[in-house]
Amino acid sequence: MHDGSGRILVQQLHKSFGPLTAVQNLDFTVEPGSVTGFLGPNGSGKTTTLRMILGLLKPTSGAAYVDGVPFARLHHPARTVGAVLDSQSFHPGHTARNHLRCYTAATGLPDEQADRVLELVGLSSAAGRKTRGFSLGMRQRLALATALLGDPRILILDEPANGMDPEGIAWLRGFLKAYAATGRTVLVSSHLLREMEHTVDHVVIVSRGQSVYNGSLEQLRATQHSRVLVRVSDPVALTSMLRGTGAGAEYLHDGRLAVTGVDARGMADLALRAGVAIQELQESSGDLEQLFFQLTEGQFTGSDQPFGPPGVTNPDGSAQQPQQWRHRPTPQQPPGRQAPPPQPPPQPPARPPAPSPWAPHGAEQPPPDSPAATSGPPGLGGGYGSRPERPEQHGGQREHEQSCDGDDTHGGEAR
Amino acid sequence: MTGLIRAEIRKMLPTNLWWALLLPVAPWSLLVAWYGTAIGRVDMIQEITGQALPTGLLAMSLATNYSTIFAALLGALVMTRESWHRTVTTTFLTANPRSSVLSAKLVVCLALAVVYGVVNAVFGFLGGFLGGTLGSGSGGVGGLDQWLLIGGAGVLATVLWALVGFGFGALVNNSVAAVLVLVFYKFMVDVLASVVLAGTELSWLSSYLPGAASNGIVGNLAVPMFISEVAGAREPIVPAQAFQQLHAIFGGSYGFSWWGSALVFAGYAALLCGGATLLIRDREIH
Repeated sequence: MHDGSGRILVQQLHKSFGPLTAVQNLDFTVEPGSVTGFLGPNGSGKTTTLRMILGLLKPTSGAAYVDGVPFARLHHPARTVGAVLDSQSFHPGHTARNHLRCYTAATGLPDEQADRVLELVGLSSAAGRKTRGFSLGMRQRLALATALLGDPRILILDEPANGMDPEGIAWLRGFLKAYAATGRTVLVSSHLLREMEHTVDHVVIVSRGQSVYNGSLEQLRATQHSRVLVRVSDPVALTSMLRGTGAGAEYLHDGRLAVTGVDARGMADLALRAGVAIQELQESSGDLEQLFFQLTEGQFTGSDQPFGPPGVTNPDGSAQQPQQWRHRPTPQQPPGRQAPPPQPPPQPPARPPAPSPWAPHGAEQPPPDSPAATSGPPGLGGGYGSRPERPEQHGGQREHEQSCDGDDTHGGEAR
Repeated sequence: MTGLIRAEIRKMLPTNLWWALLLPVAPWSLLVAWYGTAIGRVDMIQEITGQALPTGLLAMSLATNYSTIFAALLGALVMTRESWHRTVTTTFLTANPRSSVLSAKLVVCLALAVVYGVVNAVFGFLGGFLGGTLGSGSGGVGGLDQWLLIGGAGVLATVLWALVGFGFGALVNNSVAAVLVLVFYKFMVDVLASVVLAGTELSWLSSYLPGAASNGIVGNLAVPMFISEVAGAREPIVPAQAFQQLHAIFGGSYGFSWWGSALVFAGYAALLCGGATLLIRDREIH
């Protein structure tokens, strides 16, 4: 019988499709009361896992439990767990209301519930329109509305932000946090940690079907050492000074030094002792996205060509191109290596991690420390643009989030 | 269960599938029955045979044996279009166990098939009535009881075809494949198989093929009915060949009862639906 815990439990889950292993040795628990991110690159087995939890796919071995029982044994599945798996699953000839009323009937809910969830996701005005003409963002909202019909204790979402506009993404984040804050369970998958960073409290990171990290986001962030970015009049003098103190220093392509092992104040003292003038000083906390890339690196063998073809436009300006060429090819872990050992959080890298080797060169993300590293409008909330280091950007983003959703109980997360 | 049935009705009614497939049935049955009845009453035939012939009954059998394909397609699409539109994910997420969904769909499919069968019968009656009243001379239309019997058998055949389509669709889980195979099978494979078997020792087998069995439900009623109408008291001396030739065109086989055909065909329907229920329990939904 249901244990009423609202917990999702995945035990030694294993799934193969013929010779292809999609998921192996996966173990994790999703507890109620918080948003859990299920992260990993495309093809890492996220969707397969979610579909196994929901009883749509049969595990090769292992088991998944929802509210204490396998999905197939839930008496009122829609009232226990709601899921957004596929934003395309509507009959084009149905209106949004028609679509929802199919499932209110199937689950024995009052028909008014259809209009209630439409209002909840902001689709009231489109209730009478056929889903044929819905945009991707509207489909995502309707899929979410479908999942919410039974007011489930557990909500499972597979890449729910795909196709949503920035406003929709910000809304969704607030919604999920508020939903979890009522003591319910939310498991949301994404291939972008950045997209989830301000929404989730816990993360399960998978790569090649295996769990590589399972724990709180705070802990993960703590494994990343903070650095001080500094521009000085005489970097050479400063680095020789730093070498004596045991602090690590690295040149960035824009001429700044990234120093680990000291804080900003210590940095200023050191610079004074070295007799160099500080032109710019900035503290930088660990970049989760980079850590995420490292954890999930090397999934695809095609990644041993980390660079775009010459002549690809660089948003930083072509003058930096040669330097970037020097910096980018310093992968600490050669691509194509074995998957990192599962469980305990890996040791933080001593140096700032190399950019993702398989990042599409079209994205051409500038190195993380570049001050010019902004793409996308500020309102994007870091959802899709590369995440800037500048704190004022984040302030603006949080304001945006809160203005979009007053229920955002967690507010902006301290970084 | 009533909730699931209501859900299936709500899925079906706002879409145009059910009426689009029903649309051809009405004019088809009307025209075939009309023309079929009228042809038995033209002067030339009356001169040759000395009486008007109730060919409308035979025509009705022909009309039914073709129009059942629409019910079969409806049945096939009831399940496969959920996979096609990927709504099957939500359907299975909102109902446990999966077989309950299948049962609900089956009920809706049956109800719609009855509608198809009734439309076929009603428009057939109408055609027969028009053919009977508009022509010259009298008689040669057949009695109301005969038309009711044939119409009723038509409803049964339609319902069973819907079940066969449903089971087959749920088994293959692919709209295009299900539609193509059903049409090809009904109008080509089954007919060709009967032809091939005809001259061999296995010719008895052809009555047990799905298509032949389904055609037999109405055909095995209509043909003997027609012959007894025409031959009257001379019925016992009518040669078997006369039966066989009529059966070849209008369905059924000589000496086979209509309910025998119905049982055989119901067996196929049960086999397919049962197989689908078993298979769908473990089907992976990607």
